[in-house]
Amino acid sequence: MQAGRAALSRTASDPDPELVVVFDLAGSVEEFARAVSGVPGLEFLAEHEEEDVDPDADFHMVSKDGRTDKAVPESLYMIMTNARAVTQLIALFHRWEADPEEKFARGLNPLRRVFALLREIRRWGPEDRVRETGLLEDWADTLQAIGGARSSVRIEIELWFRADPARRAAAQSEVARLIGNAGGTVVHTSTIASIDYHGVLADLPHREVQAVLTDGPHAIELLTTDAIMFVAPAQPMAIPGLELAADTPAPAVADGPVGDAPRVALLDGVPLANHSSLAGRLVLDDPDNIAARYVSSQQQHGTAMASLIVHGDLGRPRAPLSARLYVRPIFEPHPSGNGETVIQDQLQVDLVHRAFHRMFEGDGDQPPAAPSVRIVNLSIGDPARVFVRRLSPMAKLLDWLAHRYNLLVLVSAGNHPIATTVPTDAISDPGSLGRVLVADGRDRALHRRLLAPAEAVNVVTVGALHADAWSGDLPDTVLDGLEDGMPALYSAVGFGYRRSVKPEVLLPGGRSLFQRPPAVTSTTVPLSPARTSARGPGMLVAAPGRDRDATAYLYGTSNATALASRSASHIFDVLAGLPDRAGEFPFPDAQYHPVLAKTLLVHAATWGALSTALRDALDLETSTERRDITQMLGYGAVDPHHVASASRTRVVLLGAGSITKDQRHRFSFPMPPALAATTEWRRLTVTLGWLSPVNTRTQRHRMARLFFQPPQTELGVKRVQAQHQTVRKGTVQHEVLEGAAAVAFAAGDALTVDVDCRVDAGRLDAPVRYGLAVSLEVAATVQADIHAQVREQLQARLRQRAAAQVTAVRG
Amino acid sequence: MLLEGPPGNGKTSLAEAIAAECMLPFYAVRYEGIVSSFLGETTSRLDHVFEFVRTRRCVLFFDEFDTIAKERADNHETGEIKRVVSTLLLQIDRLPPHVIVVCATNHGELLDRAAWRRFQLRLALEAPSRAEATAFLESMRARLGGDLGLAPRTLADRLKGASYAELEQFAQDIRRRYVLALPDSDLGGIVRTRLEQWRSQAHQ
Repeated sequence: MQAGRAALSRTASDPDPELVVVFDLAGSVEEFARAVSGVPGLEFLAEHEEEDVDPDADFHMVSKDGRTDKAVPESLYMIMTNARAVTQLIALFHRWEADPEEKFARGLNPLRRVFALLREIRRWGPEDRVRETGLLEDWADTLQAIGGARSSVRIEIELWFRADPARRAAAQSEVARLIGNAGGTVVHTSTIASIDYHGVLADLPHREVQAVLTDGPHAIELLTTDAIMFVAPAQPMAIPGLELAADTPAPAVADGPVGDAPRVALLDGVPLANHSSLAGRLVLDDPDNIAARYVSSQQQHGTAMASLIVHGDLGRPRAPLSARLYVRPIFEPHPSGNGETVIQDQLQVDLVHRAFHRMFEGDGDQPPAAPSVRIVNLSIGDPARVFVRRLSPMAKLLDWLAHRYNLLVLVSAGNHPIATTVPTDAISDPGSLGRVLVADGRDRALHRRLLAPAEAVNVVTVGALHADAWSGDLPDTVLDGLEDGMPALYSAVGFGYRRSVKPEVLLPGGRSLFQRPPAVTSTTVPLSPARTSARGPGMLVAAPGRDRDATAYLYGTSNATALASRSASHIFDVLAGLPDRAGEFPFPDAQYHPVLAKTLLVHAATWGALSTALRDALDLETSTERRDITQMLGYGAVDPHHVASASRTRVVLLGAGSITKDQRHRFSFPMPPALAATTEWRRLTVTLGWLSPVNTRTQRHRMARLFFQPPQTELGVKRVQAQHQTVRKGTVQHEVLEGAAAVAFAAGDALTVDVDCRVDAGRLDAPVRYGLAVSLEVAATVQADIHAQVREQLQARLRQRAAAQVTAVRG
Repeated sequence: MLLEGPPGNGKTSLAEAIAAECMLPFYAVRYEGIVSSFLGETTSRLDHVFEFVRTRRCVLFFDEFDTIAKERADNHETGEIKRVVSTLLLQIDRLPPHVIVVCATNHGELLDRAAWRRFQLRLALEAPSRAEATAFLESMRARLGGDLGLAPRTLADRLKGASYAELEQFAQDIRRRYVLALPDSDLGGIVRTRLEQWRSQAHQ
C-alpha cells in the first residue's frame, strides 16, 4: 500500500485502466469519508470528497412510480500510481471478505474499518462504462418507441487517453476490431490531447442493444474492453422545424455603420444571410460547405439566432450589433426533412474544436479566420446527455477553449418538454395554475437538469424567463400558465458541476403556452404545448418564408443565450468606450474585457421579485430555502437596466488583474459620506469572474479557485441571495448584500474586498485573469449624489497613492 | 365547417389559418392510410382517427371530403362505402365541441345529403372575379418587387378563369424567368409567350 499512496493522478502519469480502483459503497459517502480519513495513504480520498458531500444530496433512487427515500448506491473511483498496489488492495479486500477476523500486516489494519463500509473493491468494469452516460436509458427509450425499426444505434466511445501515440493507436484499433466483429462500423475518430480526449463514433447493430438491455452491460464484448472508459449514446440535438411563419414582417432595420471585425461568433445552423434583417451584418464562414445541404426553407435556427443576437427580439428591436456577426455552421438539415440537427457523422467535440481552431489559429497555413472574436454563442443542448455528475467531453473542451483563447463562451441551459399533468381545478384560476406549474417544475427538477455541455465551468450558462415583447389578446383555446417574467417551464435547472450555481443567469426566452384542455370530469388533466410560432407569443425572429422579411415566433433557452451574447457585446462596447481621465485610475486593459464582460453580465443578475414568487408557490423549508431557490434561479434574472451602467444612486467600481497561487489582491471602495450613520436602505453587490485553467485529469477540474469575503458589518449589510457556499464553486462569485443599519465611519474610510487565489488541481502555468465589479446602490430617498462622492474620494486617493487598479464607471 | 369550391382558391390555406389563429394542432387525414381494400378495415381505421382526436383540442381536416363521403345512393359503390359514410357521419356527430372539423371538397354535389346537413358553416370559396384577380395581382407585384410586364387589370382579363393559385404561379413564373435571363431580359416577350402557353393549356 505504501507504494500506492498519493493517487488522484496529480502527476502526469497516464491514467491507465489498470490503475483505476472502484469502491462500491454500502453506506453513505460521509461515512466512508470519515473512515478513510484515518487510513494512512487514503486520507486524500476523504479530503477530495469533502467538498461534494451534501447532507441532503439530491440523488435519489427513482423507482417506476416516482421517488423513493433509498440512497443511491455510490461508487467512488480512484486512480492509483502503481498497478501492484491496485492488485494488492483488491486482494486484501477479498481476504478480508473471506475472513473478517484475519490480522493484516502492520499499518494496514485501519483498512478493516474502511472495508466494512464497502460492498466491493474492483477494477473498472462494464457497469462503470455506461454509468450516468444515459446509454441504457436512451436505448430502453428507443426500443420502446420504435422497437427494432432502426437497424443500428450510434454511440460515442471515450477511450482512456494514452499520451503515447503508439499505445493510443493500438487501443483504437482494438476497439475498431471489436466493433467490426460485432457487425458495427466506425464512423469517426478524434484525439484532442489538450483535454485528454480520445473518442470513437460508431454504429452498433441492433442485436447488441437488445443483448445489453436483456442481459446487462456484460453481455457484449465492446463494453468489457479495458481500453474503453465510457460509452454514451450519440444523438446530436435535433431542433424541430417551425410549423408556420408569422404574418408580422420583420421591422425595417436602421442602416448604421457595421464594424468588419466580428466580436461575437455563433456556432449554429446556416442562416439566411440575405434576410432583410441580416443582410450585410454577417460573416458566414462555411469551410465544410454545409450550406449546400440545406434548402432555404430549412435555414431556420441559424437565421433566428442571428437575428436575436444582431437585433434582439424583433418585436421590440434594439440598436443592432456594432460589428458583423461571425457564423460558423455546425448544424445540418435533419435526415427526416423536418428541422435541423448538429452534424451527425462527426464527433461533436471534434467539430467544435475545429471551429475554434479555425477562428483563432487558422486551418493549415491559413491565417486565423476570426481572431477578433471574444464572445462565442453555443446552443447545442443534447437531450440524451442530461448532466448528472460527470462532465461531458464537450464541457471539458469548452472550459479549455475559453481559457486558452480568453473568451466569454455563452451556452444555453437546454430545453425540456413542458407537457405535464395538473389538477383540473387549477385550470380555471390563473393564479393557482401558476403556483401549481412552478411546484410541478420543482418536483420534476431531477428530470429538468442541464443538458450537456451547459455544465461547463468556465462558460456562462443561460436559462430562460417566460417573457417576450409580444402583446395582444390570446384566443380562449390556449392557457398562459405563468406570470410574465417567471423562470420558463422549458428551461433546464441547476445545479452544475460539484454543485456550483448553474445556470448563472436568466434572460427572456419567449413565452410558451398550453392548449386549454377540453372539459373533463377527472381530477387531473394533461396539458400539452400550443402552437405559437405563427401568431405569438414568443420572440419574433427572422425566418425563411415567402418574403425576405419573413418572421416566426419562437421560445427556448437558445433565445435567452442569444440575448445574453448581445448584452455581453454591449458590455464590450461600454468597456472599449470608457475614456481614461487625467487624475483618475486607468481602466483595465483589453485583455481583461472577456472576464469583465462575464463579471458584469452576472453582476446585473438579481433574484428580485422572482424569489418572492417562488416562496409563494413552494412550501420551502427555511433552512434550505436559499439553496433551493438558487437551484431554480441561479443568480437570477439579468436586469437590462443594470448592465454596465451607473446612476446618481448607484455607483459601480471595476477592477481586474492577474493573480496566481496563494496571492491576495486588495481592492478598496471608498464609502460615500452620505451613508454615514443613516438608516437608509442600501445594497452592495460584489461579483468576481474569471477563466480558470482546467485539469481534465482530475475530478476537481477547475484549477484556480478565486474567492472574496464580502464586507458586511462595515456597511451594515447581510447576504440576501444565493447561498454563500454554492457561489464559490464555479468561476463567478456573485453576492448581494442588503441592509439599513446605521454604521459610523469617517471620511476617507473604505470597504475592502480581497481577491484570493488557491490552486485546486495541478500547477498554474500563468497567472489567472479575473474581473471584479462592486456596486453600491442606495434608496432614491438619499439626496446626495453618491456616484460623485465616490468618484471624488477615488481621485483624492489617487493623488495620495497610485496603487490599486480600481476605477469608477460613469454610466 | 365545409369549404367548397374549385381547386386553388384557398380551402386548405383557410383551414390551416384557422388552426394557426386558434394555436391548435392541425391534423390532416391522409386517405391512403385509411381507405383499405379490406372489408371493414376502413371503418375501424376511421374509428382510430376519431378516438385519437376527440381527447384533445384540435382542428381536424378532411381534404377532398367527397372521396369518403360520397352520395350513399351512388349505385356503383358496394355496401362497404355506405358503412364507411355512416361511420364517418356518426363520428363527426359525436365529436366534442373542442374539435373543429373542417372538410374541403371540389365537388359539393357529390356529397351525401346527410353529410351536407351536418356542417354548421358551409362556405363557398370561388375563383376570383376580375376585380379580385386584379387586386391579387397588384399585391403579387408589390410582394415580388417588380413589374409583371402588363398592367394587373390587363393580365387579369387575359387570365380569365384562373384560380388564385394559378395567378400566383403565373406571376412568380414571370418574375423568375425575368431574373434568370438578366441582364438582357425582355419582360414583354416573356409575358407574351407565357400567356400563349397558358391559353393553350387552358384549352386542352
